Amino acid sequence: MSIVVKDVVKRFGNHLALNQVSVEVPSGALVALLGPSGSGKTTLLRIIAGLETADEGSVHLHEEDAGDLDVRDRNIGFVFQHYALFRHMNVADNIGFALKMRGRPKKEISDRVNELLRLIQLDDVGSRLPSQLSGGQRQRVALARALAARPRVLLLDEPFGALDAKVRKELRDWLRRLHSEIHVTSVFVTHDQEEALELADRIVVMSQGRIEQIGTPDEVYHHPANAFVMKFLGQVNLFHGRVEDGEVVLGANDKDAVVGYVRPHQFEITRHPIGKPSWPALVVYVNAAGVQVRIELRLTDDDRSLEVIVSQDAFRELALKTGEAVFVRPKEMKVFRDDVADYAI
Amino acid sequence: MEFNKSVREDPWYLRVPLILFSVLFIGIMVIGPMVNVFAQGLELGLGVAFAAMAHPHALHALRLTLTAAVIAIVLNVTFGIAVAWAIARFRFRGKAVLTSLIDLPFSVSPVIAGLIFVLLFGAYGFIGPLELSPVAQRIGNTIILGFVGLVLAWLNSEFNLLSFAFRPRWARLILVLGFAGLGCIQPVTDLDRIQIVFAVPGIVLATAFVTFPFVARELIPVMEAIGPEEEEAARTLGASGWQMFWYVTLPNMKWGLLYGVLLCNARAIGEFGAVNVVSGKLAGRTDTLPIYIEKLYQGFGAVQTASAFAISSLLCCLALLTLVFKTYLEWKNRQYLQEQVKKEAS
Amino acid sequence: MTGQKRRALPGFGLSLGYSLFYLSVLVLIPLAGCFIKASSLSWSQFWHAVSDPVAVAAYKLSFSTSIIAALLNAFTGLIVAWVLVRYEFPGKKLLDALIDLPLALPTAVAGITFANLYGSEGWFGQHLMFLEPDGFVGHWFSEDGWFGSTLFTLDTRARGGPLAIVVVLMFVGIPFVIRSVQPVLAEFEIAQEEAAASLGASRWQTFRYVILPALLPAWLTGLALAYARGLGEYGSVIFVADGIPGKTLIPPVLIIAKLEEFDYARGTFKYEEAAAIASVVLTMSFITLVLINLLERWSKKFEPSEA
Repeated sequence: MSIVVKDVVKRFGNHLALNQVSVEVPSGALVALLGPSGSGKTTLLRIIAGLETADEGSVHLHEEDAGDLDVRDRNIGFVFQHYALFRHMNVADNIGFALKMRGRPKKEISDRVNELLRLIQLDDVGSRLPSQLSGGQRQRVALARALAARPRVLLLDEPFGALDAKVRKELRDWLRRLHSEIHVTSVFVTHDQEEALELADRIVVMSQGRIEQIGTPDEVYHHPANAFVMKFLGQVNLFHGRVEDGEVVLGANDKDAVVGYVRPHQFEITRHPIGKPSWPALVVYVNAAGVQVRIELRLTDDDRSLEVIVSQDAFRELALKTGEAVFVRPKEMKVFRDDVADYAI
Repeated sequence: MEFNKSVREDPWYLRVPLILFSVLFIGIMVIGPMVNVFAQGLELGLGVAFAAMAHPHALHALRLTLTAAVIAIVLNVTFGIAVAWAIARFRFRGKAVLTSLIDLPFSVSPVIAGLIFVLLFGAYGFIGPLELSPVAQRIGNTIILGFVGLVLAWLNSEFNLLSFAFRPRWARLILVLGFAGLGCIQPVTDLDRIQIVFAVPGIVLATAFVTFPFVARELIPVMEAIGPEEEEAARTLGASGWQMFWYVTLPNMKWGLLYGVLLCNARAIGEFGAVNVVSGKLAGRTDTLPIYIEKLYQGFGAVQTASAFAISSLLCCLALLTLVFKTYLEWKNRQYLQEQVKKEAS
Repeated sequence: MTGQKRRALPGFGLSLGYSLFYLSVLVLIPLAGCFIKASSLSWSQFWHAVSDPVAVAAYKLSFSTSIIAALLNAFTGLIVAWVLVRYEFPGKKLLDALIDLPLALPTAVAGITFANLYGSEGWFGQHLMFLEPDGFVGHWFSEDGWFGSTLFTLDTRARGGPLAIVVVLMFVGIPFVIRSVQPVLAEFEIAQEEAAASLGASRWQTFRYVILPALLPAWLTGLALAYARGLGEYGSVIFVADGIPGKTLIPPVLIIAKLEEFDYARGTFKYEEAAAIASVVLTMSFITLVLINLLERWSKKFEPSEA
């Protein structure tokens, strides 16, 4: 294990930012800390870096207790949300800073700087000031600066947060390629589930200072540990029901009530009722622009809206129009209770 | 034109009188008095003006004024950087109180600023002139050298100078106790009486008091606007505290710092009330320039008055120069901070 | 306590420790010394020193001239700030830079040039003889004049009288109101004025109900700063006021006089009395400082919050 965080607690005044958090990051992994704002993910990253101190618990970096290690001795690379490039130094001086602090000879520094400039594909900007670069370029310079001293761990705080959508996508692909090349243990913080699912090989889902689930992108998406993870990782429709003989029966009821969760693509739309459950509904709105077709239905029984996604092929086959009456049934349903089986066809 | 008008554009019958009023007001209240200084200074010709400036007492007053200003600036810059670092970078109890205490000397009348030092160090004051008995001398030496040891210990911990021989904790102990002990056993200074009031130290103290807030007041907002991220970045990249300060903090705050120094300097050179009380006005010994001007002006004869104005012209030029630098530094500092805003917006 | 933890950024203990040390040695302890010295008087002695008619007249003079000068500056400062922010005219940059001259110019220099300008042979003074007690305007306000004999006497002398003090206090206070109001006015959104206009407000109504309320906190802060500066001013006043005890003598001059007055009965200088008067003036200043702090906090409420 490259990073081991154990039972970390952090308070800011009365606010409990981290509540008994434990995470293990294997060597060479690319891990995402995913959660809404205020979930404590940035605080956790800063504690790993040594920029904050934990009130309780421990952090081990490469089997070594980092509790007494100063930030500068942890040998980590940290990429800040707004990059924090030294605005009075040019790009080359920024990248060479870590080596200069370690008293390396000038020749070695300039060689390493040139190597990194090639790596980030910005060979000719070495003499420019950070203010003369675009957002995406700054991001790459910040990354090169963090990598200069060959850190054992790379930590990134919302690395793409301040960029526009297109640059974001490009940089994401670039970062994934870079990681597979240099293989440095990396942890990045993000609030964008798509980013986490696409980039990370492990995802730590956090909320309100606690860890909700740790797993591969596939695990957290398809087998969410609880309702929060399910809701945070994508669109979801909610059904209130009750438990009868270990199965969910729909319809709100005070006694033994449960909530069932269905993702939009986990529905089947038919012209005629097939089996149970199969509910009559009206087509309210259809948006066919995109890879998939998004359909809004209104259930005839209780006047609730459902969001359903079907493939273009299925949509063509059905030939749905707004206002038409159809039947809809869930193919899968998640119920986060141990005594109740998840529903699946 | 009419259809293209902004809601902000006032009609000419409002605009013109208001502009005229402003120009006239500043003209009468500021420009007139300023021009009068030069006119009166040159009333008896350039010869008299130069003779006034070259008088030994004038030169001595100039030297004393500059000495006091430089020492006050050094003291207040050290304080300003320290307090801005503590306030802009850390959370601690009593921060709001500390922030408002910095402004305290601004609200104290200069004469009272002088008075408090006379009350402490005057002939009938609490402490009086520092008469040092042999014991007091040793205690003083112990404290001073102990402080030197403390500074060295701090430098050592920053640069790991003695790490080849001692563990940091031992090195600190040895340095502090060693130096303090040296001061206790063998006094290295032989001062037994330090005159403070009616002497240069008093002038320096009074000047430092009235210029106390300038640097800190400029630095705190500048450092808050810049934020801690670049310093944190330097730390993650392996910079020591001193390296971080030297390579990141200082370059980032330099325009704000220069601005504070400029204001501090202008006030230090011009301070009259506080210095007037503590200086004792010993001609050629404890006269600063403003006090020397007062003496000349109170003296009789056209030559004396013209001399007072001639030296005033010198200070007036300095004030104008200050304004030019001030405008430049304000522009520079704004530009520097805006780069960050741009960066975050992109 | 967060201070005990190791922090990512170094130097907390050193910087805070040094700051508190320097603040205490240079400011807090000496100021406390002033109050301690004053408290060494008995209550009746203290009361005698601070309620002496000359001292009371000095407080009144200082208070009234400062407030009049600050009010005049508030009025003119608002106009000058408006002109500097809103209008373009040749020489504007120069005018803007010269606003700060009173801060940069040594007060003694200001004092002698004002004394000279308004002297009987000065550029301005020679045209102001009508304000002197024997001049035709000043005469109305003297004890023999119509105004003075029917209402109250008012000393309107341009040289040496309260009027002269008001003029120099105006000079030293010029930058405060202008520099407080200017940035607020410059950052005032044009959209707000456009919104007011679109809702049917006239130019004057827009100013009165939209712009002025937004300027008010900064304006009052500037006024208070100018007032505080006037209360403490010494250097320029002593050159223009003739310093008649009970009439044109300000507290700082009184303090210096006490400091130099030898008490033969006790064989010492009257340090305690000087400290007593100083502590009254200091208390007045501290109240103003608290007021300014409250005003600044109030004005912060109007700034858009970051969220």
